[in-house]
Amino acid sequence: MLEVEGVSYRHTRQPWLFRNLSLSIAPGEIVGLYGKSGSGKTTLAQVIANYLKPEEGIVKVNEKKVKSTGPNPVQLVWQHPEKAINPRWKMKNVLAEAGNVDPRIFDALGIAPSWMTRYPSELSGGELQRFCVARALAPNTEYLIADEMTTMLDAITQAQIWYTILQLAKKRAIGVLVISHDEQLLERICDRVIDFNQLH
Amino acid sequence: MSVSNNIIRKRKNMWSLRVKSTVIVSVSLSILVGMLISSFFITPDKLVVDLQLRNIAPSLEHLFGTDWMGRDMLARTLKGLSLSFGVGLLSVIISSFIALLLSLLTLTNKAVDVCVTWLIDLFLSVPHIVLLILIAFTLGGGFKGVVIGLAVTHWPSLTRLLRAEVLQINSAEYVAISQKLGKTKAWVAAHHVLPHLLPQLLIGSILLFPHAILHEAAITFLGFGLSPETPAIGIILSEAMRYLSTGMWWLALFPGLALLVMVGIFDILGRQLQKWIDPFSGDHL
Repeated sequence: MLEVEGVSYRHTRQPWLFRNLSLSIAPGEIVGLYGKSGSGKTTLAQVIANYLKPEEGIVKVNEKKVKSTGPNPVQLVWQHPEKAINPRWKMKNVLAEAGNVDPRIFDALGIAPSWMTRYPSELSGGELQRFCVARALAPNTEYLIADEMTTMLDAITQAQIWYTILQLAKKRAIGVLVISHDEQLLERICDRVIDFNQLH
Repeated sequence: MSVSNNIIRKRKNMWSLRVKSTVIVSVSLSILVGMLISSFFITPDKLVVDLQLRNIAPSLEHLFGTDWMGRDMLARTLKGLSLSFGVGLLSVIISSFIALLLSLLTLTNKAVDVCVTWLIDLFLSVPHIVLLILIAFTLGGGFKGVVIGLAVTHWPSLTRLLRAEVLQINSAEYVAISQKLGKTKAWVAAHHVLPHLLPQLLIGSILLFPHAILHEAAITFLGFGLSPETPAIGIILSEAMRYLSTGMWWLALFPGLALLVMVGIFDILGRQLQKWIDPFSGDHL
């Protein structure tokens, strides 16, 4: 169980983005979250995945507070894959950073073996995002936060990636938080959908 | 008419930037290597005093002339250049190492970063040459004093450059992701930050060379550096000063010019290398 208990966050000397926000995701559950631009969805994603420290509240996985060192069981897939990958690394090194990712995931996500020896500048944004998804599905991952993960992809690629993730979520009991503007997408793939504004 | 115009345009394009910089680099590298290799052929017997051949103006036999003790100035100049190169190389290597170490240390935590920044400001606030004289003098001058003095004074500007790069990389999303995938700070420093720093370090240290060599000549000229019997360029120049008024212009001109050429070559090499490794360096300056 991923539990977000009463977290609050604000940037330095700015009004609160959200206060006393709570939310929980069960293993294998797909939860959708939608809200307006600038409402703090991405910040919330970063707080849950432990990139940012909340001013109040706590994020717990299986009743324990998430540690700041070691592999995080909550993995975030960022919006911009070109920033999330070291431009000096070949793609196989990018994947190796996550440990032993199941090679079947690569196939399912449509990653061609020939891409492995390329540099990030030699792949498109959609192709890079598949690598980011594969990397986030490291062996230790129990929860996946997808922050506008497929917004910049075409419909077919979007469908392919979500199909893979839904299958994997069922098989490995990975809880997924899908953050998106796209209400149709959320309705289609999620077990339940939450409105960000009603959370806090 | 238009056909010949086309040919002319094509001719011009043949000398692309890449070709041009390759030519520049190979010419300057061969001059440099020539200077260094030739100094190996100068045996001590070429540097001996021969009072029969005193004060000869530049001629075919003595291209750079001879001095008031009959020593061949060409031989002394080449020996001096290779000495300067050795001093420069050693001190630049130590300096770059200090710069790399300090800039990577800024990753550990905020307090260390503040300390390093403060050290950089401290060293940059004192004129190089003053600090250099103080350190070289305290260490008793000589080869050791000059090398340590140069090494200890030339790291700050490079460190500042590298620290900025470290900060930029360390705030990149892929570094944050790496840490969430369980990688330690040391792993990140070795695999994400260091590979990014190496080109900058290489260019930076080559561009430190001219500084180091000129400062070596300067403190030797002022009498705080290498000992007077070594044929260093600084010594040659300071001795030549005393004979300038007697009309022996060649004593200072050729060694000075040779030093200038060597310094210029390093500057050219560094800048061409920068164009190759980092083609967009002109954009974000």
